[in-house]
This record gives sequence, C-alpha cells and structure tokens, in this order.
Amino acid sequence: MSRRLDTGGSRIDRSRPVTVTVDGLEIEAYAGDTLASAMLAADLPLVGRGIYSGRPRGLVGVGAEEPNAWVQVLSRGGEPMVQATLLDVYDGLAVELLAGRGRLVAEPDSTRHDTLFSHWEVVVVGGGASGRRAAAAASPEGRVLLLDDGPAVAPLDGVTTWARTTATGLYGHGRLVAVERRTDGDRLHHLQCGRVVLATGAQERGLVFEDDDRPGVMLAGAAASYVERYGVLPGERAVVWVAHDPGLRAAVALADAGVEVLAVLDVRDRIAEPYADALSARDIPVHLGAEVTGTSGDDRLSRVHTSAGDLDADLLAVSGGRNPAVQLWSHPGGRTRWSDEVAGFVPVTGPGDRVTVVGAAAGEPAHRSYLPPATWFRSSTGDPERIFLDPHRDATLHDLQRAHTAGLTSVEHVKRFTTIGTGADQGRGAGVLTVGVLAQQLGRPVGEVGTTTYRPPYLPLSFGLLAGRNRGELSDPVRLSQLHDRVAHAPMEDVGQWKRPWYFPGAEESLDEAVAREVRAVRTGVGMMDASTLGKILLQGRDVGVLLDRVYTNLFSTLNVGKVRYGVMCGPDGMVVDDGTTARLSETEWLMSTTTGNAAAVLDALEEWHQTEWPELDVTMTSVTDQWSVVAVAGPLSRDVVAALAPELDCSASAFGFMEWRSTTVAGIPARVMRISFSGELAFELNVPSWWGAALWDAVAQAGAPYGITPYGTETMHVLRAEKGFPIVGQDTDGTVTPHDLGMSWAVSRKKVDFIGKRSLARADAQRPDRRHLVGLVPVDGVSRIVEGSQLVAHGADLTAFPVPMAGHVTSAYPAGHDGRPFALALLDAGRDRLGEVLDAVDDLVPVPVRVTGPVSYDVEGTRRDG
Amino acid sequence: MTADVLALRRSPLHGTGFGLAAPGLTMAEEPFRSLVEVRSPAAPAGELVWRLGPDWWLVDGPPAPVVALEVPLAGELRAAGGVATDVSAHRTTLVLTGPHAATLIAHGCPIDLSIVPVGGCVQGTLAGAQVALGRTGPDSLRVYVRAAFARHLATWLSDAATPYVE
Amino acid sequence: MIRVPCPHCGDRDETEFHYGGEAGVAYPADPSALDDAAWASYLFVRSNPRGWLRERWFHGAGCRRWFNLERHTVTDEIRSPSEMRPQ
Repeated sequence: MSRRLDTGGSRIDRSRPVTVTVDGLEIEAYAGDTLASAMLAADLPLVGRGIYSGRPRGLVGVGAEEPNAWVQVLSRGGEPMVQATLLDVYDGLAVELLAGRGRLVAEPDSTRHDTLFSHWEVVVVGGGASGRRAAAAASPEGRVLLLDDGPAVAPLDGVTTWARTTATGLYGHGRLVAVERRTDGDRLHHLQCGRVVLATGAQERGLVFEDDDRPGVMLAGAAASYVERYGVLPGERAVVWVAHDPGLRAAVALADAGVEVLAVLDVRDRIAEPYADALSARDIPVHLGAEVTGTSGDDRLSRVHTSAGDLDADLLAVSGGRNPAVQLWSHPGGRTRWSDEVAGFVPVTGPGDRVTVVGAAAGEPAHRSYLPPATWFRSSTGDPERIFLDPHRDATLHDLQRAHTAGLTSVEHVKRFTTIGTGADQGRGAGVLTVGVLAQQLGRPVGEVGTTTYRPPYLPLSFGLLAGRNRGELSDPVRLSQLHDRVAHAPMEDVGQWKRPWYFPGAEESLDEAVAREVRAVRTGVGMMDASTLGKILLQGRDVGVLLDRVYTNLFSTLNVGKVRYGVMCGPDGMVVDDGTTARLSETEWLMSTTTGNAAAVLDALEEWHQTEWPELDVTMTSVTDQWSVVAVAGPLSRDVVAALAPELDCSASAFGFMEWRSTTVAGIPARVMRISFSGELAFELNVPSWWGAALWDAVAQAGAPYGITPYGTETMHVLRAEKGFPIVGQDTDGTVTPHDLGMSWAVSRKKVDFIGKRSLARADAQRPDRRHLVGLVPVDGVSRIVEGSQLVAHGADLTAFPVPMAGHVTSAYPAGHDGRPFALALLDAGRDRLGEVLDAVDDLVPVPVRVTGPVSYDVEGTRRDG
Repeated sequence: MTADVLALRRSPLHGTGFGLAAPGLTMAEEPFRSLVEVRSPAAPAGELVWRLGPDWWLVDGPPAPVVALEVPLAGELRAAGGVATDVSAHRTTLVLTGPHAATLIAHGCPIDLSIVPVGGCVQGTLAGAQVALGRTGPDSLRVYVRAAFARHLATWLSDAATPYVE
Repeated sequence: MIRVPCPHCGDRDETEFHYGGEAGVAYPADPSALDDAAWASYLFVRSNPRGWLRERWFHGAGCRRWFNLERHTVTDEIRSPSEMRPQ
C-alpha cells in the first residue's frame, strides 16, 4: 500500500523514480525523497528496534531530531548508523534496519571524501526567512555565504549559497566546520569566518506518556512536513496533542491534506480564536487542558487513550514545543537560559562578538503564534517503565527516577547515569524533554536545572570524511632522500617521516643474515649507506661560535676552519636533547648536523635562544637538510674507494685527518668530503648538492665494486655504532639522561662560564653516583638474545614477588656484533661501578642472565678510525 | 665534462610523471631553478624575489648550467651584501596556473590566498608539507617545496586535482 | 582550533605555530649565582592565571619569528600581538 498522495511534495521529482531496498524488500521512491519519507510512503511502520528492550520503533521526526530511524547502509561501500531522515535516496540504495547499534564495515571505504578550506567575511547558517534576511543585509560586507542543509537554496544577490550543507561545529575565532553532501562523496568544509550568523531555527520536541514509543506516534510538525515536502500522508486517522500554536497549525495542515483528525488536545486551557475557528470549520473536536495517557496496538498504533476518552487512530501527532537550535551557539561557549515565554532554552551570553543568532534560534516567536506555549512535558499518569524519554537509548522515566533516588540531581549526572542523550543523536530529541521531566521530578523550575553541554559535532561525522584524502599513501607526508630510487628495493624503516633503507637482503637472506653480512663488510672491507636524512643547518655570522658555545656542552668557538667537532646539546634541565657534528666552513659559516628525527626541533630551539634571549648575536640559521645528499663510505678499504673517486683529494691519514673536511670533486661532482665516523671504522662522508645524489650513489657503487663495496641500512648502522658505545638520542636516552650518565663527561666543558644545562648539571641530583649510566650487556651464555626494552633485575630475583626492584632497562639490543654474539646497551643504576656483575634482563617474565660491560665492545682503544 | 655532469642531475620529481595540462588547471615542475635564501633588511635585486618573513627573502633565478658546490646566484647576492644560502637543491619549484589553481591548494592549506597580491608570498603547510607559495599572476602560483617532500606533495596535488580534470 | 595573529603574517591557524609558554621569563644573567630553589623556579614555575596571560608564540611554519601576545586562558580571546622584545 502506498501512502503517497497524487500531488504535492516540494522536494520530490516524480519524473525520476528510484528503487530502494529495505531489509531485502524493494520499495519505490522518488529522487528527492529521504529514506525516511520513502519508507513512510511505502507504509513501513517499523524503522528499528530498541537497543535493549527490542521494542518496535517507528518514525518520529523529519530531520536531525529523529531518534529511531538509524540504519545500516549496505550499498556504495556501506556505512553504519545513518539517520534515515537525512539519507537521500538513490537508485540501488540498500539498507538494513538496526536495533540501536550498527556494524563497522570491514572493507576499505572507496568513497572519495575530501576537504576544502575557505574564507568569508560573513557566514549565515540556515536558509530560512531569518537567515536569508541576515545574508542579504550582510552582502555589502564582502564574501558572504549562506548555507542550508536542505536540498536547495534560492539564489540571493551578492551572496554565495550552498545547499545540502550542514554546519557540524563552531569553534573559537570564527572557525566553522560543515559537511556538504555530494553525490560522489562528502566534503568537509573548514570555513574561516569574520562573523557567523546562526539562523538555525528551532527543533520540535515531543511529549511523553505511557507507550509513547509505539510506531505511529510522531511529532506533529514532522507529520505535516512529510505531507508538504514529500507528498506522503503519515496516517489516516489521527489524534493531535499539542502544547503550543505551531502544533495546532500542523493539525490543520494534516486535516487539509486528507488525514481524518479525530481530535485535537491542547494542554493549555485556551487556544487563540484563529485556530479555534480553523479547527471548528473542519469539524475537529478540541479538548482543552487535556492529555494523552497512553496508546495501544500491536506493532503499530491502533488506539489512543486520552483524558477525554479513547480514540481509534493510526497516527498520534504530538508537539510539546520548539527548542531553539542553540547547539552551534553553545559549541564555543555561548550560554543559554530557560525562557517561559519561549518554553525553551534561548541564547544569552555570547561566545564572543563574532557570533550572533537570529530568528527562531534566538527564541523569536514562531510565525502565527498567538498565545504563549505551555511549559509542559509529560502526562501525569502511566507506568514509568513504559514512558520512554530517550527511545534512542531506550531510557525511561523509571531510569530517571532511579537516578534521582540514587541522589543525582544535576542534569549532567543524570545524563551519565541514565545515558539519556549519549546516543548517536546526542539527545537532539530527548535532551530538553529530559530536563523538563527532571525539573518536574525535582520540583524545581526548569531554568534552575539547566541543560547539558552541547559539543561538536552536531551530527555524526564518519572517520572517512574526517580523513578526507589523507589516506593510504597520503595519510602522512613521506620524506624521501634524493637517492631513494637507488635504494628503494630495500625494506624501509620509518624514521620520523623519512623512509630509510633498513637492510639490503640478498636472495632468501633473513634480516639477521643480511645485517651480519653488512657488518662484516664494514668491519673488514667497505660499505656504503645513504646518510642524507641527517638534519643540516647552515649557521652564518660573526657570532656563530658564541652561540654554539652556549648551546653545546663543549667548546666550539676554538674550532678551526676545515675541522669538524662532535657536540652534545642539553635542555635547560641538563638532559641530553640532541647530538651531532658541526663543521666550520669559513670564519663565518658553520654547518651543523642533527639526528634525523630532531632536525626541526634543533633549528627551532636555536631560533628560540637567538631570537628571545640573545638577539644581539650576529647569527642567521637556514635549514639545508634537503640541499645535500650524503653517502657514507665506511670500512678499512674506504680510503681506496674515495681515492679512486676523488683523484684531486689526498686521502692519506697525514693529509686528511680524522674530523676534518675538504672540498673536492667526486666522480666529477662538486663535493664536500668529511672524515667522520659513526661506525668506528675509517670512514668518509661525501656531501653533494642533492640533485646529484643518485649519480653519487652510482659512482660510489661503481668505484667500490672492485673492493666488494656493500650497501648497508639503518640496522647495520645501529649495530656498528652500538659496538662503539655511541648512544642514539631518543633511543638510549629518554629525557632523564645527562651527558655524564652517557659517560660523555669529556664532552662537557668545565671552562665555559655557562652553557644551556650547566646550572642543572650542578644540582646534587645530577651528580649522584648511583644515577643510571649507559653500560653494555652480553649474555652470560654467549648466545641468548637480549630483548630491547627488557627490565634489569638482580640475578635470580623472584619474578612473582611483586614488585620486583628494577635496576635499569635495555635501550638497544642486537643479535650479533662483529664476533657474532648478542650484545646490548642499557641504562643501569650506578652502572659504571658494576662492570662484571651478572643481572637478569627480563622480557615477558623470561630472565636472560647478562653480564655488565663497558658501553664500548669493539676497538676500545679507537685505533681503527684512521684505517 | 660540464655537460656530462650536468646531465647527471635529477630533480626531485624526475621520473614521476608529475604534470597536468587541463583547461582550468596546469601543474608542472620547473627543475634546477637557482634558489637562494637571503637575510637582509632590504629586498635583494632579482627577477623573482619573495619575502618569506622579516629580513628574509627567497630569490628565484633561472637554472645555472655550471658544475659547482653552489649556484652563482648565491655568490652574487652575497657580494651585494646579503647573507646568502644556496637552497637550489633543497627546494624544488612547482608552477600551478589556471582558475582552479588556488582552489586546488585550498583543499590542503588553511591560508587565505585571495588576500595574497601578485608578487606576494606566504609560507605555511600544504598537505602536511611546509611550502612557500608565491603569486605571479591572478591565476598563477609558484610552490616551493623541500626536495624530500616533493613526491608526497606531487602525489597529493595529482589526487586533489581529480575533480578538476575532465 | 584558534587563530593566532602573527604580527608579520596576519591571522593564521594555530597549527602553524609553536606555543612558547608565559612571556617575560628571562634566562638568568648568571645561572651559577642562583641557588637550587631559584633555578627550579626559573625552570618550572609559571603564573598560570585564570584570565589574561602574556605569552610567547613561534610562527614555525610561516615567518619563523617569535612574538608575544595576550590570551585569555578561559575564552581564548587574543589581543596586543607584538614583536618579540629582548627580555
């Protein structure tokens, strides 16, 4: 049976029929229908079930206030918990009805959602009469936007208009977020507004009584809207129960559309003459001071019980008043107060001078209201367990009374106790109704009880929409070295946003096997790695040395041109924040390197000290990280490879010393070569402008081929440096570690008057002998692997006797060093005084006995760096 | 020799196929531009000079067919009195033109480009990457992006351009 | 999201900035002359008012300049942005 009228329906296009499937049943609809209007037209009374009670539920509203009709969309990739009143139909739309809870869709969402930023002098939310007036008046102010969630907005001179767009959140400083529904995927708009006018109107609220959740009970205004917008008759025989004039107007509209209105009940003791005349002209009996006491029927309404007698009806249209739509007003902190004249919460103190509110949202009376609305919420009778305040959460008057009995009187507490208003509809329908009923329960004025806080988003937003195009490979920016294509075949390790080659497996080689081979190559032959990702900062000016003396713990101003020095940086609290080398390029130019993940933070810190504390220093800083591609050539045979590549460079140890740099050409490419080593072996770092990075890599590979040069990745780099006891800031340190704890007192100047962190290092706590020190660990049996992150406890400690006293933890661990045996670095209480001691490294309750060693486990004398 | 070594250069978007020529939108990389950051109170001389911040400028000049550790433009600007840093390989240049160019950027950048005049420049983030955006005409923009972020940005721009390509 | 008025670039999204905490906490002229309590006070103690607070901000993604402004810690209202003055 179809409830579609032969004519009418301002939003539907009868020339474009579509087919929609609901729980496997095909129904006919028109373009312009919502799923809710299509189901109403097809006379499907059931739109869902109570989440706990399983009770049948019908359509109540026509828009965002709808509590029951939330469906699982199956078509176009699927989407859980979509409000049927806001779901535009399309041919092939398929849905399943729900009982208050949807299912996540397992397949990736293929919809193309996106994001757009835009800027406006004035944005008006809501395209009703008040909104249009406000937009027209604002048009001389510049860029003016009028947005509305309806299917169309009539054009307005000097104003941009967007339809199908719902504002979901208003934030501080004029930032409005809105969703535009588009056929090919939704768009999330970030609107930056000079000022915002809220013309969001008012939302109809219901009335509560026994069995008020029976399908066939609707909001009166919504029922009339289904006639006007979609040409659908919501019932044949109706009872209308109201507390304000717009409800009476809906009764007249329903009667005129062909609904047999059996009676109109108004809780007020009089109604204005125009309405009395209109109802009387249609022979509709009116009962003043009357109320509905309950309903009967199986899965849908068949009988309405009222204080004026029982009536057989299939529609009960109720209207308890209009709630000004103050949600957006409240998001940035706007306050509301209860108004008896409006019988609703109206805006008072603003969230700032950028936001104003007009029309019904401001509490202006509805068009053709003659008498004030009643502050009236529920029937005086009925079984509290069958009086549903929030059908979306299946919460009843009984639940509210229980909350009250439990001593809760604040609406915020009652909300959390009963879960009223916590559903996906965020209490748009139930919220104010609950406040009213609670006030009645407490015997206090509604205004004293107050409302709960409205928070964004106004409507649920899908994660897919929030992500927009930032998904898959675009989910986070990826940084690539300029010779990435040469190493892209290697498995990658994420280091910050960088992708770095992790290891270079040969055919069927495991990680451990590949790393063992790469380590062997660097220790006995020659290896090459892409070191381009280290941060690089060019410092220029007369006072760079002064600045470096203040930010590094050691002395830099004495460094000669042509030399390189390693330095450690601390925060003011004396804890290590970064380390790296700095080369002096000329009297006034210095090139600093930072750890890969810390480049931006170090540059920011340098700028902060310079700009905010020492602006008198003549220093400028420029990030040049991406300017240079760097290939590290490391191993006893590296000198032969570099000599072959750079014939003009004297690479001998006497001519080109450790921690020095030279300009030359490498394979014809202009280059800066630095003799620095992160492996302890003889090593050269070749720096070229990064557009030659790939060419440099090729040239090194070619020149190194006769020497069996082996590309190595970050894992091998870590093994090589860990054997030398070189800490990685952020891995072997955690913000509680001083240079002294790392055994780097040699890098902390005693001569300098001050450096960042010096005062903190002088604190008694920083000098305690039992602080955690960086140490090495080897398994006692020589073969057991130590797990990174293991806790260190006394050997043989009872691991079931909680708490087990902890002496430290493993910060870096590797299955094999140069000798093929496992080893690790750790932070250990008073570690330097415990060399030789045996402890247990515990991972997941499995103890591995380990012996404490010094942090350096290879080439302790440091003789290999010169080859 | 010089020509051979110059031929070995690879711009950040080399081999990615980045580029678009649609009716309302064109996108292309201009590789190997001479880019120099200058610190000086007064604007340095040059054809394309962008103000990045107080006393901070980006000078964009034609590619320099020389094999050197830095582009000649850096030396010239240093000689003219500024503190100059060669960033030619640190950043690459993308050129966007057409009525959709600014809208395309607005899909991933919160800055109001409509208030940036011809000759004006803003720095900010576009699709998560730090960029400088300079306007050369009502419908033409130059995007300076760090080399390491260039592929990400190119992928993002190509994806964002989908609705504007028919 | 708040909009931060950079004195050099105009209003920009908060995401372009780093917050630098309370303004006017100068690095001591001679840290070694301070006792532990005075040094800890410099490192850790801030006024944390409910109301107007003079703050430092860094436009890291823009002009890379530090500057000061006053922000109301309850309403996020912002006024008097100004270039950084040596403290």
